[in-house]
Amino acid sequence: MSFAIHLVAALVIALAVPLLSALAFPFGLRRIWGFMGDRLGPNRVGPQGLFQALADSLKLFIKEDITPSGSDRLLFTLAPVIAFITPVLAISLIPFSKGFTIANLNVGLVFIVAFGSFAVLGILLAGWASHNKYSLLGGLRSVAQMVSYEIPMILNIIIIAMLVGSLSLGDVVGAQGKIWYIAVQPLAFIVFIIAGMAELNRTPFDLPEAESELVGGYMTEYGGMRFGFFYGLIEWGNVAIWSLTGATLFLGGWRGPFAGSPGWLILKVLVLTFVVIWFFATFPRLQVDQLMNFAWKVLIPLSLVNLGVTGLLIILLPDNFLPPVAAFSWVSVTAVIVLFQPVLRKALVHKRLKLNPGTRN
Amino acid sequence: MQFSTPVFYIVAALVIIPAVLMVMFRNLIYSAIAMIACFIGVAAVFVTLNAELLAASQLLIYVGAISILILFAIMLTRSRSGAVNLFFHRQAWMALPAAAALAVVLGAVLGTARFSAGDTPKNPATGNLASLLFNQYAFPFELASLVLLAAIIGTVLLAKKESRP
Repeated sequence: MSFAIHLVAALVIALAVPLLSALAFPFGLRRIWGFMGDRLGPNRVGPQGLFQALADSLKLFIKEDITPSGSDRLLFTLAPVIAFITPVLAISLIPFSKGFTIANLNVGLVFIVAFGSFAVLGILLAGWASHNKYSLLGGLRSVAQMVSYEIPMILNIIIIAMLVGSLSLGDVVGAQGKIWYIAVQPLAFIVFIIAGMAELNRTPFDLPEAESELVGGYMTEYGGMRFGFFYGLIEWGNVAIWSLTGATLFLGGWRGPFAGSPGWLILKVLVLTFVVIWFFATFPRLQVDQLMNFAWKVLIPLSLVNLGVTGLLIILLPDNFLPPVAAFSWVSVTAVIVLFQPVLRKALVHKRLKLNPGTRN
Repeated sequence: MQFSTPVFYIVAALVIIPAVLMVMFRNLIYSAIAMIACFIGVAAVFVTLNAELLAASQLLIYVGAISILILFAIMLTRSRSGAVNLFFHRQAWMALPAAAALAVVLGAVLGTARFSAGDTPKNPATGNLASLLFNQYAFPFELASLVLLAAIIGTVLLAKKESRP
Protein backbone atom coordinates (compact mmCIF):
# COMPACT_ATOMS: atom_id res chain seq x y z
CA MET A 1 0.00 0.00 0.00
CA SER A 2 2.78 2.38 0.95
CA PHE A 3 4.39 1.49 -2.37
CA ALA A 4 1.27 2.62 -4.23
CA ILE A 5 1.18 5.91 -2.28
CA HIS A 6 4.87 6.39 -3.01
CA LEU A 7 4.27 5.73 -6.72
CA VAL A 8 1.37 8.17 -6.97
CA ALA A 9 3.30 10.88 -5.10
CA ALA A 10 6.32 10.29 -7.35
CA LEU A 11 4.21 10.57 -10.50
CA VAL A 12 2.52 13.74 -9.27
CA ILE A 13 5.86 15.41 -8.45
CA ALA A 14 7.56 14.20 -11.63
CA LEU A 15 4.75 15.58 -13.80
CA ALA A 16 4.10 18.73 -11.78
CA VAL A 17 7.65 20.07 -12.02
CA PRO A 18 7.82 20.24 -15.86
CA LEU A 19 4.19 21.40 -16.02
CA LEU A 20 4.68 24.21 -13.51
CA SER A 21 7.97 25.26 -15.08
CA ALA A 22 6.31 25.28 -18.53
CA LEU A 23 3.66 27.61 -17.15
CA ALA A 24 5.82 29.82 -14.95
CA PHE A 25 9.16 30.14 -16.75
CA PRO A 26 8.00 31.43 -20.19
CA PHE A 27 5.86 34.01 -18.40
CA GLY A 28 8.79 35.02 -16.21
CA LEU A 29 11.00 35.09 -19.29
CA ARG A 30 8.70 37.49 -21.11
CA ARG A 31 8.21 39.77 -18.14
CA ILE A 32 11.96 39.87 -17.37
CA TRP A 33 12.72 40.45 -21.04
CA GLY A 34 10.19 43.22 -21.01
CA PHE A 35 11.85 44.76 -17.96
CA MET A 36 15.34 44.44 -19.46
CA GLY A 37 14.17 45.88 -22.78
CA ASP A 38 12.27 48.69 -21.08
CA ARG A 39 8.96 47.30 -22.24
CA LEU A 40 5.92 46.04 -20.39
CA GLY A 41 5.70 42.42 -21.45
CA PRO A 42 2.42 40.49 -21.22
CA ASN A 43 0.34 42.14 -18.48
CA ARG A 44 -3.25 41.95 -19.70
CA VAL A 45 -4.50 38.44 -18.86
CA GLY A 46 -5.16 38.29 -15.14
CA PRO A 47 -3.34 40.28 -12.45
CA GLN A 48 0.03 41.40 -13.87
CA GLY A 49 -0.56 39.03 -16.79
CA LEU A 50 -0.20 35.96 -14.57
CA PHE A 51 -2.66 33.88 -16.60
CA GLN A 52 -0.90 34.58 -19.91
CA ALA A 53 0.68 31.12 -19.95
CA LEU A 54 -2.71 29.48 -19.39
CA ALA A 55 -4.22 31.50 -22.23
CA ASP A 56 -1.33 30.50 -24.49
CA SER A 57 -1.73 26.82 -23.63
CA LEU A 58 -5.47 27.02 -24.33
CA LYS A 59 -4.72 28.54 -27.70
CA LEU A 60 -2.24 25.77 -28.50
CA PHE A 61 -4.75 23.14 -27.41
CA ILE A 62 -7.53 24.29 -29.72
CA LYS A 63 -5.26 24.59 -32.76
CA GLU A 64 -5.44 21.95 -35.46
CA ASP A 65 -3.11 19.02 -34.96
CA ILE A 66 -1.14 18.69 -38.18
CA THR A 67 1.17 15.87 -39.18
CA PRO A 68 2.98 16.97 -42.32
CA SER A 69 2.63 14.69 -45.35
CA GLY A 70 5.77 12.72 -46.05
CA SER A 71 6.70 12.69 -42.40
CA ASP A 72 7.24 9.46 -40.53
CA ARG A 73 3.97 9.39 -38.58
CA LEU A 74 5.03 7.02 -35.82
CA LEU A 75 8.32 8.74 -35.05
CA PHE A 76 6.81 12.19 -35.47
CA THR A 77 4.39 11.35 -32.65
CA LEU A 78 6.91 9.41 -30.59
CA ALA A 79 9.75 11.97 -30.64
CA PRO A 80 8.24 14.48 -28.14
CA VAL A 81 7.35 11.58 -25.84
CA ILE A 82 10.94 10.31 -25.88
CA ALA A 83 12.28 13.80 -25.23
CA PHE A 84 9.86 14.19 -22.33
CA ILE A 85 11.44 11.18 -20.56
CA THR A 86 14.42 13.31 -19.46
CA PRO A 87 12.70 15.85 -17.19
CA VAL A 88 10.28 13.29 -15.76
CA LEU A 89 12.87 10.67 -14.87
CA ALA A 90 15.60 13.04 -13.72
CA ILE A 91 13.31 14.71 -11.17
CA SER A 92 12.98 11.40 -9.36
CA LEU A 93 16.67 11.59 -8.39
CA ILE A 94 16.74 15.10 -6.89
CA PRO A 95 16.73 15.30 -3.08
CA PHE A 96 14.02 17.82 -2.17
CA SER A 97 14.80 17.83 1.54
CA LYS A 98 16.40 15.59 4.14
CA GLY A 99 15.22 12.08 3.36
CA PHE A 100 12.78 13.25 0.67
CA THR A 101 13.97 11.81 -2.62
CA ILE A 102 11.74 9.81 -4.92
CA ALA A 103 14.52 7.37 -5.82
CA ASN A 104 17.56 7.61 -3.58
CA LEU A 105 20.13 5.79 -5.69
CA ASN A 106 23.76 5.52 -4.70
CA VAL A 107 24.75 6.45 -8.26
CA GLY A 108 22.23 9.25 -8.82
CA LEU A 109 24.79 11.55 -10.45
CA VAL A 110 25.50 9.05 -13.22
CA PHE A 111 21.78 8.54 -13.80
CA ILE A 112 21.12 12.29 -14.10
CA VAL A 113 23.72 12.44 -16.88
CA ALA A 114 22.37 9.25 -18.47
CA PHE A 115 18.77 10.49 -18.58
CA GLY A 116 20.01 13.66 -20.25
CA SER A 117 20.86 11.59 -23.30
CA PHE A 118 17.18 10.87 -23.96
CA ALA A 119 16.63 14.54 -24.74
CA VAL A 120 19.22 14.26 -27.52
CA LEU A 121 17.46 11.19 -28.89
CA GLY A 122 14.07 12.90 -28.97
CA ILE A 123 15.43 15.97 -30.76
CA LEU A 124 17.29 13.86 -33.33
CA LEU A 125 14.18 11.78 -34.08
CA ALA A 126 11.95 14.87 -34.24
CA GLY A 127 14.28 16.45 -36.78
CA TRP A 128 14.41 13.32 -38.89
CA ALA A 129 10.74 12.37 -38.75
CA SER A 130 9.57 15.83 -39.87
CA HIS A 131 10.88 15.24 -43.41
CA ASN A 132 12.07 18.81 -43.69
CA LYS A 133 15.63 19.89 -44.37
CA TYR A 134 15.54 22.62 -41.73
CA SER A 135 14.27 20.20 -39.13
CA LEU A 136 16.94 17.64 -39.98
CA LEU A 137 19.73 20.21 -39.97
CA GLY A 138 18.47 21.68 -36.72
CA GLY A 139 18.29 18.23 -35.14
CA LEU A 140 21.78 17.26 -36.26
CA ARG A 141 23.20 20.58 -35.14
CA SER A 142 21.52 20.31 -31.79
CA VAL A 143 22.90 16.84 -31.22
CA ALA A 144 26.46 17.74 -32.24
CA GLN A 145 26.31 20.63 -29.80
CA MET A 146 24.78 18.69 -26.94
CA VAL A 147 27.22 15.80 -27.31
CA SER A 148 30.20 18.20 -27.37
CA TYR A 149 29.11 20.11 -24.30
CA GLU A 150 28.16 16.98 -22.41
CA ILE A 151 31.90 16.30 -21.97
CA PRO A 152 32.79 19.43 -19.94
CA MET A 153 29.49 18.98 -18.08
CA ILE A 154 30.39 15.43 -17.04
CA LEU A 155 33.98 16.40 -16.20
CA ASN A 156 32.71 19.03 -13.76
CA ILE A 157 30.18 16.66 -12.25
CA ILE A 158 33.11 14.27 -11.70
CA ILE A 159 34.98 17.05 -9.86
CA ILE A 160 32.05 17.45 -7.46
CA ALA A 161 31.81 13.67 -7.07
CA MET A 162 35.53 13.58 -6.14
CA LEU A 163 35.08 16.33 -3.54
CA VAL A 164 32.13 14.47 -2.00
CA GLY A 165 33.62 11.02 -2.40
CA SER A 166 30.26 9.64 -3.43
CA LEU A 167 27.98 9.50 -6.46
CA SER A 168 24.79 9.85 -4.46
CA LEU A 169 22.96 13.17 -4.71
CA GLY A 170 21.89 12.86 -1.09
CA ASP A 171 25.56 12.70 -0.06
CA VAL A 172 26.34 15.70 -2.28
CA VAL A 173 23.87 17.82 -0.33
CA GLY A 174 24.98 16.25 2.96
CA ALA A 175 28.61 17.21 2.29
CA GLN A 176 27.69 20.88 1.80
CA GLY A 177 26.68 21.47 5.42
CA LYS A 178 29.55 23.85 6.15
CA ILE A 179 30.32 25.37 2.78
CA TRP A 180 28.60 25.26 -0.60
CA TYR A 181 30.64 23.92 -3.49
CA ILE A 182 30.20 27.14 -5.43
CA ALA A 183 32.70 28.62 -2.93
CA VAL A 184 35.07 25.67 -3.28
CA GLN A 185 34.89 25.22 -7.04
CA PRO A 186 33.81 28.45 -8.76
CA LEU A 187 35.62 27.34 -11.92
CA ALA A 188 33.56 24.16 -12.11
CA PHE A 189 30.40 26.19 -11.47
CA ILE A 190 31.12 28.58 -14.32
CA VAL A 191 31.88 25.76 -16.75
CA PHE A 192 28.72 24.01 -15.53
CA ILE A 193 26.67 27.11 -16.36
CA ILE A 194 28.22 27.57 -19.80
CA ALA A 195 27.90 23.91 -20.71
CA GLY A 196 24.36 23.94 -19.33
CA MET A 197 23.36 26.78 -21.65
CA ALA A 198 24.59 24.69 -24.58
CA GLU A 199 22.91 21.52 -23.33
CA LEU A 200 19.63 23.38 -22.99
CA ASN A 201 19.98 25.04 -26.43
CA ARG A 202 19.73 28.45 -24.78
CA THR A 203 21.30 31.69 -25.93
CA PRO A 204 24.17 32.21 -26.73
CA PHE A 205 24.08 28.59 -27.88
CA ASP A 206 20.58 28.42 -29.38
CA LEU A 207 21.89 27.48 -32.83
CA PRO A 208 19.45 24.59 -33.28
CA GLU A 209 16.66 27.17 -33.43
CA ALA A 210 18.55 29.93 -35.23
CA GLU A 211 15.48 31.31 -36.95
CA SER A 212 17.42 33.27 -39.56
CA GLU A 213 19.08 30.08 -40.79
CA LEU A 214 16.87 27.17 -39.81
CA VAL A 215 13.33 28.59 -39.42
CA GLY A 216 12.42 26.77 -36.19
CA GLY A 217 15.10 24.08 -36.11
CA TYR A 218 13.99 20.59 -35.18
CA MET A 219 10.49 21.78 -34.19
CA THR A 220 9.72 23.57 -37.47
CA GLU A 221 7.00 21.12 -38.47
CA TYR A 222 5.48 20.77 -35.03
CA GLY A 223 2.35 22.81 -34.51
CA GLY A 224 -0.43 23.20 -31.98
CA MET A 225 0.04 21.41 -28.70
CA ARG A 226 2.89 19.32 -30.09
CA PHE A 227 4.84 22.53 -30.43
CA GLY A 228 3.68 23.44 -26.92
CA PHE A 229 4.98 20.08 -25.76
CA PHE A 230 8.43 20.72 -27.21
CA TYR A 231 8.71 24.38 -26.40
CA GLY A 232 6.98 24.32 -23.03
CA LEU A 233 7.19 21.01 -21.26
CA ILE A 234 10.46 19.68 -22.67
CA GLU A 235 12.60 22.80 -23.07
CA TRP A 236 11.53 24.40 -19.81
CA GLY A 237 11.32 21.07 -18.03
CA ASN A 238 14.97 20.57 -18.96
CA VAL A 239 15.77 24.05 -17.69
CA ALA A 240 14.12 23.07 -14.41
CA ILE A 241 16.15 19.86 -14.26
CA TRP A 242 19.38 21.66 -15.03
CA SER A 243 18.64 24.26 -12.34
CA LEU A 244 17.73 21.55 -9.83
CA THR A 245 20.98 19.72 -10.60
CA GLY A 246 23.02 22.90 -10.39
CA ALA A 247 21.39 23.91 -7.11
CA THR A 248 22.06 20.45 -5.69
CA LEU A 249 25.66 20.24 -6.87
CA PHE A 250 26.88 23.77 -6.20
CA LEU A 251 24.37 25.69 -4.08
CA GLY A 252 23.78 23.25 -1.24
CA GLY A 253 20.49 21.77 -2.50
CA TRP A 254 17.73 22.10 0.09
CA ARG A 255 20.10 23.51 2.70
CA GLY A 256 19.62 27.07 3.84
CA PRO A 257 19.47 29.35 6.85
CA PHE A 258 17.05 28.43 9.70
CA ALA A 259 15.94 25.04 8.39
CA GLY A 260 16.58 23.00 5.29
CA SER A 261 13.43 22.70 3.24
CA PRO A 262 12.28 22.31 -0.38
CA GLY A 263 11.53 26.04 -0.30
CA TRP A 264 15.25 26.86 -0.34
CA LEU A 265 15.74 24.50 -3.26
CA ILE A 266 12.93 26.20 -5.19
CA LEU A 267 14.45 29.61 -4.44
CA LYS A 268 17.85 28.47 -5.76
CA VAL A 269 16.19 27.00 -8.86
CA LEU A 270 14.48 30.33 -9.51
CA VAL A 271 17.82 32.13 -9.15
CA LEU A 272 19.52 29.79 -11.64
CA THR A 273 16.60 30.05 -14.06
CA PHE A 274 16.82 33.82 -13.80
CA VAL A 275 20.48 33.51 -14.83
CA VAL A 276 19.39 31.52 -17.91
CA ILE A 277 16.84 34.19 -18.84
CA TRP A 278 19.36 36.94 -18.15
CA PHE A 279 21.87 35.31 -20.52
CA PHE A 280 19.07 34.98 -23.04
CA ALA A 281 18.48 38.73 -22.99
CA THR A 282 22.17 39.64 -22.97
CA PHE A 283 24.28 37.60 -25.38
CA PRO A 284 24.12 37.36 -29.16
CA ARG A 285 24.16 33.96 -30.76
CA LEU A 286 27.47 32.24 -31.59
CA GLN A 287 28.25 30.62 -34.91
CA VAL A 288 28.72 26.88 -35.34
CA ASP A 289 32.51 26.89 -35.60
CA GLN A 290 32.84 29.29 -32.64
CA LEU A 291 30.60 27.01 -30.64
CA MET A 292 32.62 23.88 -31.37
CA ASN A 293 35.97 25.64 -30.93
CA PHE A 294 34.88 26.98 -27.57
CA ALA A 295 33.86 23.54 -26.34
CA TRP A 296 36.88 21.60 -27.56
CA LYS A 297 39.66 24.17 -27.21
CA VAL A 298 38.61 26.07 -24.10
CA LEU A 299 36.07 24.30 -21.92
CA ILE A 300 37.38 20.74 -22.16
CA PRO A 301 41.07 21.58 -21.51
CA LEU A 302 40.02 23.88 -18.66
CA SER A 303 37.87 21.15 -17.13
CA LEU A 304 40.61 18.54 -17.57
CA VAL A 305 43.19 20.74 -15.81
CA ASN A 306 40.72 21.46 -13.03
CA LEU A 307 39.94 17.76 -12.71
CA GLY A 308 43.62 16.80 -12.60
CA VAL A 309 44.64 19.42 -10.05
CA THR A 310 41.63 18.75 -7.83
CA GLY A 311 42.32 15.02 -7.90
CA LEU A 312 46.00 15.59 -7.12
CA LEU A 313 45.16 17.84 -4.16
CA ILE A 314 42.68 15.29 -2.82
CA ILE A 315 45.34 12.56 -2.99
CA LEU A 316 48.10 14.72 -1.48
CA LEU A 317 45.99 16.16 1.35
CA PRO A 318 43.30 13.58 2.03
CA ASP A 319 42.37 15.12 5.40
CA ASN A 320 41.95 18.76 4.53
CA PHE A 321 41.72 19.25 0.79
CA LEU A 322 38.93 21.84 0.59
CA PRO A 323 41.07 25.00 1.27
CA PRO A 324 43.78 24.25 -1.35
CA VAL A 325 41.17 23.19 -3.91
CA ALA A 326 39.25 26.40 -3.26
CA ALA A 327 42.46 28.45 -3.52
CA PHE A 328 43.35 26.84 -6.84
CA SER A 329 39.87 27.22 -8.23
CA TRP A 330 39.49 30.87 -7.22
CA VAL A 331 42.92 31.77 -8.63
CA SER A 332 42.23 30.00 -11.92
CA VAL A 333 38.73 31.41 -12.27
CA THR A 334 40.10 34.92 -11.74
CA ALA A 335 42.85 34.22 -14.27
CA VAL A 336 40.35 32.93 -16.83
CA ILE A 337 38.07 35.93 -16.43
CA VAL A 338 40.93 38.46 -16.52
CA LEU A 339 42.72 36.80 -19.43
CA PHE A 340 39.63 35.92 -21.41
CA GLN A 341 39.28 39.16 -23.31
CA PRO A 342 42.94 40.01 -24.11
CA VAL A 343 44.29 36.50 -24.76
CA LEU A 344 41.71 33.83 -25.33
CA ARG A 345 39.06 35.73 -27.22
CA LYS A 346 41.63 37.37 -29.45
CA ALA A 347 43.26 34.04 -30.26
CA LEU A 348 39.92 32.49 -31.14
CA VAL A 349 38.79 35.42 -33.26
CA HIS A 350 42.15 35.67 -35.05
CA LYS A 351 42.18 31.98 -35.77
CA ARG A 352 38.69 32.24 -37.12
CA LEU A 353 39.27 35.20 -39.37
CA LYS A 354 42.72 33.84 -40.34
CA LEU A 355 44.32 37.11 -39.25
CA ASN A 356 47.93 37.39 -38.22
CA PRO A 357 48.50 37.79 -34.50
CA GLY A 358 48.92 41.44 -33.73
CA THR A 359 46.39 42.72 -36.22
CA ARG A 360 43.57 44.66 -34.69
CA ASN A 361 40.13 43.21 -35.19
CA MET B 1 15.69 -5.43 -3.57
CA GLN B 2 14.59 -8.90 -4.60
CA PHE B 3 13.03 -9.38 -8.00
CA SER B 4 10.64 -12.19 -8.76
CA THR B 5 10.57 -14.51 -11.75
CA PRO B 6 7.74 -12.65 -13.60
CA VAL B 7 9.80 -9.48 -13.45
CA PHE B 8 12.70 -11.35 -14.99
CA TYR B 9 10.50 -12.60 -17.85
CA ILE B 10 9.18 -9.10 -18.51
CA VAL B 11 12.72 -7.71 -18.59
CA ALA B 12 13.87 -10.57 -20.81
CA ALA B 13 11.05 -9.76 -23.22
CA LEU B 14 12.21 -6.13 -23.18
CA VAL B 15 15.59 -7.30 -24.42
CA ILE B 16 14.62 -10.05 -26.85
CA ILE B 17 11.62 -8.50 -28.66
CA PRO B 18 13.49 -5.30 -29.69
CA ALA B 19 16.50 -7.41 -30.64
CA VAL B 20 14.37 -9.48 -33.03
CA LEU B 21 12.61 -6.36 -34.33
CA MET B 22 15.97 -4.73 -35.00
CA VAL B 23 16.89 -7.51 -37.41
CA MET B 24 13.42 -7.62 -38.98
CA PHE B 25 12.89 -3.93 -39.72
CA ARG B 26 13.71 -2.83 -43.25
CA ASN B 27 14.02 0.82 -42.28
CA LEU B 28 17.45 1.46 -40.81
CA ILE B 29 16.18 4.19 -38.48
CA TYR B 30 13.58 1.84 -37.04
CA SER B 31 16.30 -0.79 -36.59
CA ALA B 32 18.41 1.70 -34.70
CA ILE B 33 15.48 2.61 -32.44
CA ALA B 34 14.77 -1.06 -31.77
CA MET B 35 18.44 -1.41 -30.85
CA ILE B 36 18.09 1.47 -28.39
CA ALA B 37 15.07 -0.25 -26.84
CA CYS B 38 17.16 -3.41 -26.56
CA PHE B 39 19.95 -1.48 -24.79
CA ILE B 40 17.43 -0.04 -22.34
CA GLY B 41 16.24 -3.59 -21.69
CA VAL B 42 19.81 -4.64 -20.92
CA ALA B 43 20.01 -1.71 -18.47
CA ALA B 44 16.84 -3.08 -16.85
CA VAL B 45 18.57 -6.47 -16.51
CA PHE B 46 21.42 -4.73 -14.65
CA VAL B 47 18.88 -3.07 -12.34
CA THR B 48 17.36 -6.45 -11.49
CA LEU B 49 20.88 -7.58 -10.57
CA ASN B 50 21.24 -4.56 -8.24
CA ALA B 51 24.01 -3.17 -10.44
CA GLU B 52 22.79 0.42 -10.70
CA LEU B 53 26.14 1.82 -11.79
CA LEU B 54 26.32 -0.61 -14.69
CA ALA B 55 22.73 0.26 -15.64
CA ALA B 56 23.54 3.98 -15.65
CA SER B 57 26.71 3.39 -17.67
CA GLN B 58 24.74 1.24 -20.10
CA LEU B 59 22.24 4.07 -20.62
CA LEU B 60 24.95 6.72 -20.82
CA ILE B 61 27.29 4.94 -23.21
CA TYR B 62 25.04 2.77 -25.35
CA VAL B 63 21.88 4.90 -25.52
CA GLY B 64 23.46 8.31 -25.07
CA ALA B 65 26.58 7.93 -27.17
CA ILE B 66 26.77 4.91 -29.46
CA SER B 67 23.14 4.85 -30.62
CA ILE B 68 23.12 8.59 -31.15
CA LEU B 69 26.25 8.30 -33.29
CA ILE B 70 24.71 5.47 -35.30
CA LEU B 71 21.51 7.49 -35.87
CA PHE B 72 23.65 10.49 -36.77
CA ALA B 73 25.58 8.48 -39.34
CA ILE B 74 22.41 7.01 -40.87
CA MET B 75 20.77 10.41 -41.14
CA LEU B 76 23.82 12.01 -42.70
CA THR B 77 24.42 9.29 -45.27
CA ARG B 78 20.97 8.06 -46.30
CA SER B 79 18.34 9.79 -48.26
CA ARG B 80 15.09 9.22 -46.44
CA SER B 81 12.92 9.39 -49.52
CA GLY B 82 15.12 7.02 -51.50
CA ALA B 83 14.38 3.33 -51.85
CA VAL B 84 15.36 1.23 -48.87
CA ASN B 85 17.97 -1.00 -50.38
CA LEU B 86 19.56 -3.49 -48.10
CA PHE B 87 23.29 -3.13 -48.18
CA PHE B 88 24.02 -6.73 -47.32
CA HIS B 89 21.23 -8.47 -49.22
CA ARG B 90 23.57 -10.25 -51.62
CA GLN B 91 25.57 -11.69 -48.79
CA ALA B 92 22.51 -13.28 -47.18
CA TRP B 93 23.85 -16.80 -47.71
CA MET B 94 26.90 -15.87 -45.65
CA ALA B 95 24.62 -15.35 -42.68
CA LEU B 96 24.05 -19.10 -42.40
CA PRO B 97 27.67 -20.12 -41.54
CA ALA B 98 28.04 -17.00 -39.39
CA ALA B 99 24.91 -17.84 -37.42
CA ALA B 100 26.01 -21.48 -37.15
CA ALA B 101 29.42 -20.41 -35.81
CA LEU B 102 27.77 -18.09 -33.29
CA ALA B 103 25.44 -20.90 -32.21
CA VAL B 104 28.42 -23.22 -31.68
CA VAL B 105 30.31 -20.63 -29.61
CA LEU B 106 27.26 -19.69 -27.55
CA GLY B 107 26.41 -23.36 -27.07
CA ALA B 108 29.92 -24.11 -25.87
CA VAL B 109 29.86 -21.19 -23.43
CA LEU B 110 26.36 -21.89 -22.13
CA GLY B 111 27.14 -25.61 -21.85
CA THR B 112 30.10 -25.03 -19.55
CA ALA B 113 28.68 -22.06 -17.62
CA ARG B 114 27.43 -22.71 -14.12
CA PHE B 115 24.37 -20.66 -13.24
CA SER B 116 23.85 -20.15 -9.55
CA ALA B 117 20.11 -20.16 -9.12
CA GLY B 118 18.25 -18.38 -6.39
CA ASP B 119 21.10 -16.79 -4.47
CA THR B 120 21.04 -13.12 -3.53
CA PRO B 121 22.17 -10.75 -6.25
CA LYS B 122 25.62 -9.31 -5.74
CA ASN B 123 25.78 -5.65 -4.99
CA PRO B 124 28.88 -4.38 -6.74
CA ALA B 125 29.84 -1.28 -4.79
CA THR B 126 31.12 1.57 -6.93
CA GLY B 127 34.44 1.64 -5.02
CA ASN B 128 35.06 -2.07 -5.59
CA LEU B 129 34.37 -1.70 -9.29
CA ALA B 130 36.73 1.26 -9.50
CA SER B 131 39.60 -0.50 -7.73
CA LEU B 132 39.13 -3.55 -9.98
CA LEU B 133 39.09 -1.40 -13.10
CA PHE B 134 42.04 0.81 -12.21
CA ASN B 135 44.28 -1.70 -10.38
CA GLN B 136 43.75 -5.24 -11.51
CA TYR B 137 42.50 -4.47 -15.00
CA ALA B 138 44.35 -1.22 -15.56
CA PHE B 139 46.27 -2.56 -18.57
CA PRO B 140 43.24 -3.75 -20.61
CA PHE B 141 41.49 -0.51 -19.67
CA GLU B 142 44.37 1.58 -21.02
CA LEU B 143 44.59 -0.66 -24.08
CA ALA B 144 40.92 0.00 -24.84
CA SER B 145 41.49 3.73 -24.56
CA LEU B 146 44.48 3.40 -26.92
CA VAL B 147 42.25 1.71 -29.49
CA LEU B 148 39.68 4.51 -29.11
CA LEU B 149 42.40 7.12 -29.48
CA ALA B 150 43.64 5.48 -32.67
CA ALA B 151 40.07 5.48 -34.01
CA ILE B 152 39.66 9.18 -33.21
CA ILE B 153 42.94 10.09 -34.89
CA GLY B 154 41.95 8.02 -37.92
CA THR B 155 38.61 9.81 -38.19
CA VAL B 156 40.20 13.23 -37.93
CA LEU B 157 42.71 12.26 -40.61
CA LEU B 158 39.98 11.03 -42.96
CA ALA B 159 37.91 14.15 -42.43
CA LYS B 160 40.94 16.41 -43.01
CA LYS B 161 41.85 14.75 -46.29
CA GLU B 162 38.43 15.33 -47.73
CA SER B 163 38.43 19.04 -46.99
CA ARG B 164 41.78 19.67 -48.68
CA PRO B 165 41.55 21.11 -52.18
